[in-house]
Amino acid sequence: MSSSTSPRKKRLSKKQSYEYMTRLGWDTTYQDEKKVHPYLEYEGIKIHDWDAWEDPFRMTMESYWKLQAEKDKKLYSIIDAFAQNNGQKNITDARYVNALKIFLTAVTPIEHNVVSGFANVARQFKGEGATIACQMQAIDELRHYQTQVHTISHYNKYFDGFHDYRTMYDRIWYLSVPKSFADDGSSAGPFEFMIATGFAFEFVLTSLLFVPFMSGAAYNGDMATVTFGFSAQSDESRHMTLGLQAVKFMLEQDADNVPIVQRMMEKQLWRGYRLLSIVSAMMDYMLPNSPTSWAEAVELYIEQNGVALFKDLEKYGIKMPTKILDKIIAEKEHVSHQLWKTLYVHSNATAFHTWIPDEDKMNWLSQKYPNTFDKHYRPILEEYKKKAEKGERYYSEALPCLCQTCQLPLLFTDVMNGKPTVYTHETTEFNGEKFHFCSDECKNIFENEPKKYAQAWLPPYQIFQGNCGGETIPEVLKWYKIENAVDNLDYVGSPDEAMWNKLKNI
Amino acid sequence: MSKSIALLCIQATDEGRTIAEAIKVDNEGIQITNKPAMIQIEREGEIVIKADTVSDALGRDWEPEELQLILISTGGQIDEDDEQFVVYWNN
Repeated sequence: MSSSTSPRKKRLSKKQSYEYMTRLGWDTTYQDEKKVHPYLEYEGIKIHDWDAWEDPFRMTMESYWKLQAEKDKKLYSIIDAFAQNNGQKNITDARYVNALKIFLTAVTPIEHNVVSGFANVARQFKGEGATIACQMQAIDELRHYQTQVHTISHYNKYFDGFHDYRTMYDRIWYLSVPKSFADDGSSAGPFEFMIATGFAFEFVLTSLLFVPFMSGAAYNGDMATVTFGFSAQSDESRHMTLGLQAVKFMLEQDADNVPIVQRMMEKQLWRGYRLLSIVSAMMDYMLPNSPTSWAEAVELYIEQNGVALFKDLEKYGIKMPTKILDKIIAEKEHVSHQLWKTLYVHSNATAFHTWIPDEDKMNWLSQKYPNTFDKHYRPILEEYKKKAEKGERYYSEALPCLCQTCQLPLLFTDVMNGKPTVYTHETTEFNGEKFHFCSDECKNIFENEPKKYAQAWLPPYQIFQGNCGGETIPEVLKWYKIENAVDNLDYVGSPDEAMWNKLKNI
Repeated sequence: MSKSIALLCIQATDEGRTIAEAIKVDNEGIQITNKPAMIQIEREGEIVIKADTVSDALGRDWEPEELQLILISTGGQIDEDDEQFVVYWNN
């Protein structure tokens, strides 16, 4: 009757439990394998030997749980301390929170999308190593999603614009940019999902997003964000390893895979870069203290790291995507200003505030962008400032024409051809309909898969088709669940500003 | 042509600073820059983090897998075993 008398429950040895936990790469016996793994041939990638995929995570499984638990413990102790000490009062300025509004409403739902994406790819791939690695990454991504929701929850108590991030992600025009990137990857086959997320986003681009912006969060007193950011980013070294391993695996398995992988890599590099262009405005304009400019981040993470990575892949037959890299480099001195200008004039239809940078910030921008800021962008900002001082703060009443591929407004100019004041506007026809693009690169992506991108859900067009609550801005805002003059418009005069000034006795 | 530059970013905590000092010992010509909340470490070709050197610096046994606790990001391929953690480019 007592437990000491009952036989001790038999447990699996470590070795056995490890074998059972990872025994997922079986061959089918009573079902046709093509029915069980229907997407393995969908993209034309040829895999001859799934066992050749050595999972780098599998060997460290035992320590994985221990380390992740330790990381989470550290993270939540800092997030708790931030909440208990009213950490939101110690940030540099409430303007800063608007960068967070963009980050948390755009990135958090993507993290969630990637959880299901990796769970799905784990199911679709056949190899044991691949399956385990993808499952573990899905768990990591769930952790990132949760930590970001906890950060939203804290800021939502004090600032506007965080109240319904999930609905906003599905509806608001600027959030269709990250959504379309995530949906594009999820609706591709498993190999392209892997390249979109594991390679382009994790390897080439997350550093550009998480590292300098999070360091900037620390510089502005936001310990909650820097903590979840760095903690998430530390998982990325594993995710990068997986992404790169997937690419090498595809390239080694069959020479026919090389051109397919090359096309997917170039497409996803460009898509990821376009998506991240909004981060340029967050770093250069929205951080009151900016430790790094967008141009400096591009130099480190694209010109240095990105190029090094492609050089490493040259021995597998991959060619350096010179045209794309040259364009990213040429645009590095322009995009943050072009993005900020666009957000400023359309902030009557956003869930965050914008403002004209003060003189100190303008001078910082002149110093960081000696070739472009004073010449092209300062005069425009000065003009907006004069109008605002006269009580005529400028908001656009028109809806922007969006790029059919990346879904950003056509806000980029032809800097590659020495025409920085001429907007780039490419078009193509498909099924008797005309489609518009922000760049050659986005046009090429469309022309490779026109049936896919012709279906894209573009907010302005949906508004005019009557699918978004009406055609006027108040009707659309209501449908977006944005409260006019509370969540949107200029920072000056906003409830956020009033709350902050009261808090700081200004 | 010079080699590509390997990159390692770690958190600027007490432990992170000690580990950065230990990395200096085994990596000649390394460049270390302090950024807000972050230590940025760069070196041509590769950065090697040896468990023995870090253990000596910390005054306790340290395993390369513990790097995960202070790691922010890497620029390079990764090679990890019980003795060391290497960030490198193959070009």
